[in-house]
Amino acid sequence: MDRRAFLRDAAMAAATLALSPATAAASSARRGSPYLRVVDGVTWDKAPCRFCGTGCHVQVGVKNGRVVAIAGDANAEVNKGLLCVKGYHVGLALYGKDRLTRPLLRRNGKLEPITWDEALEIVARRVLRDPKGFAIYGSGQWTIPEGYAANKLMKGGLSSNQIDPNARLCMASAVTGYLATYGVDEPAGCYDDLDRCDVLVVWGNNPAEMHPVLFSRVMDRRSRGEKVILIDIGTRRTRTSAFADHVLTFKPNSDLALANGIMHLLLERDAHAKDFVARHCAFRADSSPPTLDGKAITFEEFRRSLAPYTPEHVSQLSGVPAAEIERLASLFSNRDLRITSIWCMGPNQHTSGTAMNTLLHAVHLLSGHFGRPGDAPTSLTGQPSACGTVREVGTLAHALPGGGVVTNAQHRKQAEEIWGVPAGRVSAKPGYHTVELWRRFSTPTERGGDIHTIWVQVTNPAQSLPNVDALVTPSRKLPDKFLIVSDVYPTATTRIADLVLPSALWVEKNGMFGNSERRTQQWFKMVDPPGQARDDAWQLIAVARRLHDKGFAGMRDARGRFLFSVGGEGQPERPIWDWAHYYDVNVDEHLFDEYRRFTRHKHKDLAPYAEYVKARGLRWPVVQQPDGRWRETKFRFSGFDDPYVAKGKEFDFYHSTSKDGRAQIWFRPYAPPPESPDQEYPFWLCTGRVLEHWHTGTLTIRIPQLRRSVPQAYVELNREDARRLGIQNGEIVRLETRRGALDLPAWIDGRGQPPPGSLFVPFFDERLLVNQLTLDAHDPFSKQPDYKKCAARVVRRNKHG
Amino acid sequence: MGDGSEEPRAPRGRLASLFLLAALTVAGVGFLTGASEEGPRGLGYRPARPLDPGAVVTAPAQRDLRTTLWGANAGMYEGAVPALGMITMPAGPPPPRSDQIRQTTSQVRATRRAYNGAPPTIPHAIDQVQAPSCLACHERGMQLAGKTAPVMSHRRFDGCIQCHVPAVPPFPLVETAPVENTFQGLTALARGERAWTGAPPTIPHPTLMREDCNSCHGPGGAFGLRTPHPERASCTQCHAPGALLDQRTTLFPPARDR
Amino acid sequence: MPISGLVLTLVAAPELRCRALAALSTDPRITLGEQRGDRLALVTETTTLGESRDLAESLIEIDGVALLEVVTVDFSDVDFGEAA
Repeated sequence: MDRRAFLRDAAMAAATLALSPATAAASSARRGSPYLRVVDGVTWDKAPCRFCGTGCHVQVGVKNGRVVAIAGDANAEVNKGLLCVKGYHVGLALYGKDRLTRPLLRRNGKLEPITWDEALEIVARRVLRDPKGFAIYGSGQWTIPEGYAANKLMKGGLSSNQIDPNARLCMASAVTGYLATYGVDEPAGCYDDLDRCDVLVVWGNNPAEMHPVLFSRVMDRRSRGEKVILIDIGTRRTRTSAFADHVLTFKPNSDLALANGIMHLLLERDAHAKDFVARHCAFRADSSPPTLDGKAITFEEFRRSLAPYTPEHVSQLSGVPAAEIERLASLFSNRDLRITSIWCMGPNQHTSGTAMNTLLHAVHLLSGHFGRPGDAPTSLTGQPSACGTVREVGTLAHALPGGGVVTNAQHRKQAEEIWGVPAGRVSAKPGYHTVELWRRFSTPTERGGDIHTIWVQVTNPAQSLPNVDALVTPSRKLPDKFLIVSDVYPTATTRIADLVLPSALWVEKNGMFGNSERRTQQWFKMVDPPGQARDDAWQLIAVARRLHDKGFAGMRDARGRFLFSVGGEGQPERPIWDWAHYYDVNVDEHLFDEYRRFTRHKHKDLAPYAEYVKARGLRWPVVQQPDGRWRETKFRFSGFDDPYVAKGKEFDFYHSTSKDGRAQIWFRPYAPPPESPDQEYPFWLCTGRVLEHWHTGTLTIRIPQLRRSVPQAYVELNREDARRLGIQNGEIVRLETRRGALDLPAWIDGRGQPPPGSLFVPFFDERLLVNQLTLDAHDPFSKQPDYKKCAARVVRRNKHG
Repeated sequence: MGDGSEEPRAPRGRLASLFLLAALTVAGVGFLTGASEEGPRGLGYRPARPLDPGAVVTAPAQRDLRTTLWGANAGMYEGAVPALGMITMPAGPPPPRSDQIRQTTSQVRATRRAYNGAPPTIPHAIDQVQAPSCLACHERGMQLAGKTAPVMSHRRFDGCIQCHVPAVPPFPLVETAPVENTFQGLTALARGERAWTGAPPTIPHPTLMREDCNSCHGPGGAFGLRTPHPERASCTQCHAPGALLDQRTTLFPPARDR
Repeated sequence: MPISGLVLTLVAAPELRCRALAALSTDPRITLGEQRGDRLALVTETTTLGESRDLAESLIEIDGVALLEVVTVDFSDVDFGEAA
């Protein structure tokens, strides 16, 4: 064979190889990935981890169309090559044996396979029945383009704001906290603070299990000889406490009193940051009626409001010794120290969640521990894209992409312009927040239940909503209510759904996430989804097209083009609604580059898609430099780093609610919780997570290494309580609240140790659903429910016979 | 990340037994660390007791305390006394090597991890909170009664149980159903390249988190992986790691500023 | 003499598809390979890199071709002075 013939054969072999669907999808999706490494037949590429909001990057090893290995990404700034046990096993999440692979329709009580064509037709008909009663319930696990497509479909297509995400249940109070304080959402600092802080204060949070890689990022500094003081303020002892210098155990809900106690001492000792406060802060308190912005108060009024919060009084309210409160105040008084506070679900899943969040910012602002590397109040998120998809894309019932709100005419106009839809298309009326949405869905239509269909994507509300028996179950008995669920595995929600759509998961599709530190991350599809499972974004676009083809006017823009048209001026329209052609183009790139245009007005600037292909994520605002490079921002509002702070200014809160460049220091009084232990239900019940499991456990429970380590839910109780009640370690006990009962094994001195009078149950186990027991009382501003405290009792089962 | 394997005992020595005695004391104080039993026959740990609904776990009676082993780590120190005669160094005669041995070792390793490169699971009970006690055995490695506690393959981190989780549920949790997962992990059968017959092979796996070669290849390592020349301490002087494997290559752009 | 391996995605309409295949088979520089579904493998041989690029671009213009993917390009004989 001559050389030329050989080259021709080689080229043909390569082209033929590229014909197979797996390679085809990968090759067209992958065009331009600069990170591909091929070693020993394994192709490695970058992706953010699928699990928590830390946003570690992993290297995914693919061989023969399947994920075969995971490695920490050594070039990622977030995790620097390290992962946690979930991250190392994230690849296994794709391969549970019971993946959903076909659309399923409930007929005569049973879920039976149907075709995608039938499924899309059913969804479209449910929309057409009454577009205003059709809702989407999404998630902080949506990729950014998925959430954007859903938001555009609803707000720009159906003229309806009935879209809300599960993130309402996890970080809504963090959002309202940021808005009330800075006038704009999301942390000012970033993870770099963790490399610089001298003191880390952990508020109602267990990062050793929930954000393990971040926690090791701090704690590993100790093994390098650096001193980091860790203060663990919580309601039970956790793995984090084991590392802490000081553990402050407070009575549930009294965290407000603690924060006020610190501020009281700062003022009493005249140790607050006078210069910083005078130049950059203003004071606020609740207005009547209460609004998110509250009313301005003077410094003197602020000081007077705090007067009752003496160490002794706070100690009485919280159970924390006065000396510990004074220690905290002394640390915050010392501006030579760098202090970072982190928190997550503790202050967020809280009936005073907004209040507590504003107080955490207030402590840092009043003490001046703000805006220098290492000085930051930073809330963490639990979902991989709670920030990226929910908070930034605005997949909330009141929000528009880029930080806009539907009630603002200017924001609506901008959205209509970018979407190219006729003026007036975007509705000014906010949709229902999560709890209300599900309540309406579970209420008969004739009694005001005006939501007839909910399409759930990437989440599991039948397990994660509070008081499931009141919010979800009743709808299943109402014949005109229809539940559509897109998911990857059978879940508590698919089991009660009318229509189940099989979805692609993680690296089975292109995607983008936004983590807790404003970092936007991108990955390419690496393997094919199983069977007929398809991308969530495709599902949304295919339904939109179906509506378009049925003549639904909302699916056309002002020029009569399809709402999700890809092709552009003079180019033929790409049929992306046809699955066979979905990956002919990079739909993510098209959606993202359109979404980007929203991100300027709140200074959340995103770079073009292509920049994220090259980076391990970039922190917004990402601003183009004169030389054309895109520069990320680590410290917002700080003159030395944030390009939107005017030259020469040290700080500028340029979205200030008082319109004068100032951040708001709030006074919020301590108020008792809605339900407290009493004689009948003498225990506090707290719910949460464990290291090995994530969210409702649908992914992690299918990973052998994780499941074997923690195979089931349990109730933690204190040894003293156990002794008093005669409960043995491992004994199955009955846990009861006013809303329900659950049988669980007792684990004494197990993963965590609650103080006497407290219980803890992880919520991942769908066979032992603790959310049937929790309150649905929620924060007045954020509407986020409180999963962290309600009254409960423990009963020995043999007494029940 | 290494494994040992059952093997003929090495010559005995007095100094080493003193060291072991000291290490045992440390471990005893920590209560929880363990050594892994090895061998293709499977994992030798005690499974957690299945729990009947309403079952009551009884403590041993006072008079039985001296003779009864109970608690999560019962049996941890079985065979400890005979083991005092064992040593870890010097390694004695070169380890036997064959493809068969290598394959067997590889299979044993695979039972401990999801894929080659995954953090191995812990084949014994552990404390739920106090991670540093793992170091009592794993900081320097130890052999005990035919079981090997491998040296950590990576530098010291403070949260061992962030990545390494027990392979059986801790009491009182019970596994109720098998997990069906079709994942097939990358196997460890890759071999390093030799430039010519007799040349030192390159390192066929990434060295991220596997910086201490002794963990698998040192004198406590399993046959098939154990080096025949443990006395040469600087492994990478002759065995080259792969830049592409280690994500150190400049073939693709740096994380930022591009 | 650059030799490239390409994959074309053809549109679904049968008559357009036939027309595209006819057009492709008349060009002596193109060797058609296997077709699987709507995807067709082919190899092009040209004298210069510029010609190779022009040929690839002309393929997209053919009615009935939806998408072009370049799988391999052989540069071993290319005079890069010319290519620039």
